[in-house]
Amino acid sequence: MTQTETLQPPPEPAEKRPAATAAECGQDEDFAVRAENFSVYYGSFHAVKNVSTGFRRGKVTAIIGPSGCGKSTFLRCVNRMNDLVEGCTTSGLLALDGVDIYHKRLDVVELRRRVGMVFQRPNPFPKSIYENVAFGARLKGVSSRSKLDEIVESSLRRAALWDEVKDRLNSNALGMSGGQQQRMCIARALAISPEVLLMDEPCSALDPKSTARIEDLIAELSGEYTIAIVTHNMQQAARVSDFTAFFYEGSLIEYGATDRLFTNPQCAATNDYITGRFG
Amino acid sequence: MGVIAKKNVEKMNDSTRKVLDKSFTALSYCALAAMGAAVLLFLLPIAINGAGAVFFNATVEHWKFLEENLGRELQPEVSERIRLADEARVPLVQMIDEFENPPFAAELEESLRKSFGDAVKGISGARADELSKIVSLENPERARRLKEFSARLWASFVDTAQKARAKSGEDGTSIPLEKILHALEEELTDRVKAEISNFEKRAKLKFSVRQQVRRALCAPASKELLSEAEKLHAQNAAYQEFKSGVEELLGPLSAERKEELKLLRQRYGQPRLDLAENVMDKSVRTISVRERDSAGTEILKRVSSAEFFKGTKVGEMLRYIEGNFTAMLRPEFTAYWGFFFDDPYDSNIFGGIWPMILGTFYLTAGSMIIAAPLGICAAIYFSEYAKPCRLVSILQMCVGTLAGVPSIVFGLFGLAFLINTLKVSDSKSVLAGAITLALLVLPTIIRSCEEALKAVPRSYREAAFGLGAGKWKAIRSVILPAALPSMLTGIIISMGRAAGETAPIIFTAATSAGAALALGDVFTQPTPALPWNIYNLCSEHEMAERVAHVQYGMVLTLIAIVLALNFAAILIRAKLQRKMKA
Repeated sequence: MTQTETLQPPPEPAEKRPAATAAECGQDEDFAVRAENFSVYYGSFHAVKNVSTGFRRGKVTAIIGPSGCGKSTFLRCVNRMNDLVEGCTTSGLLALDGVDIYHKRLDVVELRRRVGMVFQRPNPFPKSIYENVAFGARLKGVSSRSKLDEIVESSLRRAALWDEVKDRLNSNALGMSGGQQQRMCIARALAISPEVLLMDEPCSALDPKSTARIEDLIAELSGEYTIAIVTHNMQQAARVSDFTAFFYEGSLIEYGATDRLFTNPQCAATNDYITGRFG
Repeated sequence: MGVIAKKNVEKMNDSTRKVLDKSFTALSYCALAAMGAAVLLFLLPIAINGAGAVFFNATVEHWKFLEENLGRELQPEVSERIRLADEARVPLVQMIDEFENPPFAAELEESLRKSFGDAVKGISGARADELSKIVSLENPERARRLKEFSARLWASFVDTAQKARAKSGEDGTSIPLEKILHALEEELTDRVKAEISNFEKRAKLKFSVRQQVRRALCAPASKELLSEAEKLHAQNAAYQEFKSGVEELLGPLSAERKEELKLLRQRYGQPRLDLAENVMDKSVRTISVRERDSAGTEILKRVSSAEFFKGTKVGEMLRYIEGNFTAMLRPEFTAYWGFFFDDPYDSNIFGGIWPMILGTFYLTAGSMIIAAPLGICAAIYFSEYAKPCRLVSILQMCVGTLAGVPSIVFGLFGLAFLINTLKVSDSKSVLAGAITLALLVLPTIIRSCEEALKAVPRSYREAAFGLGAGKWKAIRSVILPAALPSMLTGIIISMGRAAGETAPIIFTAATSAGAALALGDVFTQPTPALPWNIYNLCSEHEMAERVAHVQYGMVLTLIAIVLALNFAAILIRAKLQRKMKA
């Protein structure tokens, strides 16, 4: 394919890709989250176009693509965060463990407990660190102090924050640095022991040092959780993910094992994007 | 060339911009200064005059009132002051007593009474034969002859009385003479009756004849006595006016006189030095006297007492009062905190404003108890639950319209709907007023709470929902706490508005006079309240200028309450925000 062609995204690329990639990575690995022909509309705007892909269980999937390509929108559909957006509708299938996420009778609260999310900007509640981390557990009905203490400690330990904050658990979470806040948000998400963890550009508001810590954290967490991370940083995607999906103008262009996709992209558009020729 | 021209243009633009910048800055400073000056001009007189309600030069009359009516224990030095003031008043009382009952008055009375007695005794004595002839005549001859007889009977007494009156101006006996004539007039009928009874020992009279005789014999004397007394009264009017001025200043001058007077304002002199000086100027140093102008019309004219009473005993009294003004009132600077905690007495002329403060508190607290939960619920509905639809936009419009309705309309609504239709109480009550006020502030509360909820960052909602919170859980545990500072600010500012509103409570809750209300009575009883009583005191009080300090005191108290509420709002907001910001 020539470069002029790649700037015009292929009309129906998403149809073929998942089949190819699934074969590529072996059928034995199952998908925790699976999208088939999934579309999202904001009113009449077609934001995500007929995407078929999935997040493999216990693996880290990175979603890359230029701004406005629908990658965040896609991610936010997995725990139905887009329900909060006025006029957002979907079509096609998006399933968590084979259950349709957009089924009418599905309990959104239950879904969100299974699919945790970390946002672009750290968003701690204006409460103490302890209360922030214990928030989800309290919602689940855990009220015994010792149990909450245990959950808070283990979550903060897993988010590699415990040693830094164990002496000031009762101080306001907004008093921490941005990196600490973001790790606390991860701890907060982990505290409800989700199966899937969605991360929407978790490092975009952080300095390189904090970014490195978060990336280490993602590496530690992979295997235990199914993680999907949206990022603008190609190096980051290459460093932390096992699989990568490349979105362009609402469509999934290419999906594959990260090593393969970054070294040997199948599509010219992918190639142009990861080599920085556009985006 | 072109480059230089362009540079110049740039420079000019730059300098224009700078001038504009500076003039805008100057303008805004001017506006700020003007606002500050306006607030100062407005608040300063209120603060100064309002403080005068608590801090003032209290005369002994103030302490007397506190002791006798409120049962306050006085400090020994205050009691000493009262004693000294009373002592200083003794000579004045003596002067007045002497003036009204001079020693020669007894002599005068004796001579008048003698003449009076001689005349009356004529009925059954020297002239009895003549009278018996007359009564045996037929009418109308009897009536005519009776009239003649009566005139002759009283001729000598009338002459004496007229002479005494004519002389009274010179010898200063007009005061006692007026009294004597009045006393004689009162005795007249009884004396004549008694003498007729004596006369009847000779010839029994028919009932109708007896009446006729009595009436005929009383008439000329009574007429004469009254007309002479009237003339004397006019002569004495200036002194009486002066004396009532003195009594207004110092209180009744004798214990018996005090018993006669029922209103508190008459039973005590001026409790404050400023009021006392005012009375001194208006009613003691100057008096109004009746005079006839050139056309013969009677007019009231203000004259200086010193000029008018020059050289008389009254002039001496005035000099004594001038010289002993301080000694008789003993003013001393005092802080009367009771202004806030005492009940008012005699339409706020004495005492404090406690019932008004308490009433304002009841109304404000009541309206908030009703409006705050309703407003918060409505705001949560509008900002979190309501989907944009026709009904919701109509509701929103209603809230907006409600916010613009004049407060007097709320008052009328309260009367017509709450009291007359729903009958929440038989007539005005704190409950009806509180509901009306609640309706008045409800739109403001809804709006401010809605804004507060909408201002909660989206990220908080996302975080809460992302962690598996249901809608209500997210609202209760994240959104409401985050919106609380702004919500509280809005509610407290509404509270200030409720505290200061007058129109809605006129028809629903306010009464001009009344004691402090017990908490149990708020459902049935009306209450005095600061805003309404300020209006009442300024416009409908019969002695508005005498209670000026109370008016200012009430205004200051109300402003203080409202400002304190606003200040509390700022503090709470700052504190909660600090807590949230870590």
